[in-house]
Amino acid sequence: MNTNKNLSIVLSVAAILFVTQLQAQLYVGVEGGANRNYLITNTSDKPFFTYEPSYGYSFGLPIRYEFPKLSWFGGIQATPGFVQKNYRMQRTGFYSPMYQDYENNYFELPIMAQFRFGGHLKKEQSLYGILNLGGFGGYWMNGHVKGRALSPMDPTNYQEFDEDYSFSTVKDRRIELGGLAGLGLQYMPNKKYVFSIEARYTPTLTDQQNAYSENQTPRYNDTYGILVGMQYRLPSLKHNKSKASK
Amino acid sequence: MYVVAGVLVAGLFSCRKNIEKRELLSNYEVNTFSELFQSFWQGMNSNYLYWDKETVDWDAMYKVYKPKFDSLDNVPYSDTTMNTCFQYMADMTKDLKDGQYGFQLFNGGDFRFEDSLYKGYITFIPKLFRTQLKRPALPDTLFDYVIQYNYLKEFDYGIYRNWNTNSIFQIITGRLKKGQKNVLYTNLNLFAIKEAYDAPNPSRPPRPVIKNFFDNIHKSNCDGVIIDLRNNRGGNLEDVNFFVGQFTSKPMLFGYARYKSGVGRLDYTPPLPLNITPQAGATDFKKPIVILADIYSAALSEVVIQAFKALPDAKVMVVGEHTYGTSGLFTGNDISTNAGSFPLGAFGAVRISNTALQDRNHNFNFTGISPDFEVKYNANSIGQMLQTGVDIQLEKAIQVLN
Repeated sequence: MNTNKNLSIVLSVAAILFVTQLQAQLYVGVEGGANRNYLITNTSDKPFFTYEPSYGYSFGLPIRYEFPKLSWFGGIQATPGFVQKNYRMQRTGFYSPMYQDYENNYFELPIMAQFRFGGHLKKEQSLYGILNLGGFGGYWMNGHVKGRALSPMDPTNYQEFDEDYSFSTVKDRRIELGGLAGLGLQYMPNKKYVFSIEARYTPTLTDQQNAYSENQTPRYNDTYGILVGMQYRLPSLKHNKSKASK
Repeated sequence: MYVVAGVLVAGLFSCRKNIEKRELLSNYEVNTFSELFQSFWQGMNSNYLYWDKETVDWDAMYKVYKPKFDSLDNVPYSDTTMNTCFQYMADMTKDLKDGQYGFQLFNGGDFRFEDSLYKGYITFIPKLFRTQLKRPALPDTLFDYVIQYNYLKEFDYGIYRNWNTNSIFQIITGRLKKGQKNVLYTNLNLFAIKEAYDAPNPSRPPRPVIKNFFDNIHKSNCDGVIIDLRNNRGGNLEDVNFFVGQFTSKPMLFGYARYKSGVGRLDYTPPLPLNITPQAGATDFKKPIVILADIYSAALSEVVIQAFKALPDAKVMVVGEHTYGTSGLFTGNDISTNAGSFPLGAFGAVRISNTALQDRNHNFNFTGISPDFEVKYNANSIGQMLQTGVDIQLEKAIQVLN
């Protein structure tokens, strides 16, 4: 019974997609930018200790599915890509020479719905304000850690280190899920190309660590980015064109 | 549309777990057993350095012992509740691997450990208790009389007292009069060599004794050397370079150290290399080195043994017993290493390593360094040694060198 119900839902969705595909346009492109990542946690139980945000960069390959009849709706966009989520552990006060810079590299797949406002400038040109809302899934590919700690052979001095981060299967959660909200501008000089600039906020909603201990303090990445992008409209498929002309 | 978006974003944040704000360990007041437990459990959870290697399930301890400590607050305070509290804390931590681990409860208490009853104790150090159950420490008579009169010629010694800690450093040197080889001997009761060397007015100046020994090492003026670290419980970190650095002309890696890097139980710094720095005048010592060690050779003694074993040109052998097994040190201060000892309010204190040490293969020394030639003492053979004047471990060392 349940199987039949699920099957009918899948078929209905497929039918809707098939119908909308007749009028949809597909854009592909590139985007990249800089970000600043904040580690959201609590360190009040460690003296002279804080986490500070750090800069990183990201790039991705957006694929956008646009529905031209809905001018307020920019479509659905997926942007598989690479994102850095860096932060710094900084000792403070007397201990300020000591720090640890974490460079974390993620493969991320954001999926968002794009809402638009504004519109045509002149002829084929148009300028939209855009609001992207969605979520993302990410995989923590690797990390690097660099810093300065107390010299173990001479506690009056410091020792530097710079090496790849070793993942702990017990501690580190490498899959990350989160939300996405972006505000920006989208400029189309003609029907083929789209240029955009966007401020994007991606809060992680899953703890960066597995739940491995009692009384554990969670850690979340909050990433604020500026992205610029360019998209190109793929030519419509022949059978779509012919169907559309009938 | 924008209202919906706002509601969506706000809704997303409710998925996050609550991030609690916690007190510094030094801020816990500890007015109740319940608070004592919280401070103790949390302190160990965040400051202990070996949770990734432990078999003790610290979360299970939380679940089992929290209600027990809470229930102690429901009965009037007495010696009995204090004893029970002491017993709980001993039971929770008796199997921890850190050889430096110990706690103090200033009111004292009775507890059972390894089938023995400890009455009116303030301090619980499981590793030391277990070591003491094996046999008592070797008596000073061995080093001050037996070795001096029965084994050494060109005997010399120096003594220095640190008036702050009241500890007394003693170095004995000489050459063995037994065996065919020209063997240098030195005994160090603890590691304060550089401190003693630099001390302005010690009663029996160790400086010329130390200098003479180092000169002989630089000149390789012997067929081998015996370094007696039995009963040596450690000391100043600077002595690793100051002592072992006399035996090599090249810097060399002998191990790694790590600290805590965050609040979490498993937050550690990467392993930081431990290198020996050659000292002025040092040459590569290529003669055999025998280190005498026993079950009381602990902490920095074990670091020194590991450093000697890393010497590329010397043949280093350990004779005696496996060492104490500390795997960690107290260096700098606990704030700088994010780890180590912490107070339990005005109620007590916990002592743990603030620097975890690994050998060159990244192994922790939890069980002690195994000897290359094992010769064990027990209470009976110690008595026999005092009667006959024959040190069976030194005899073995002489045999190995000859």
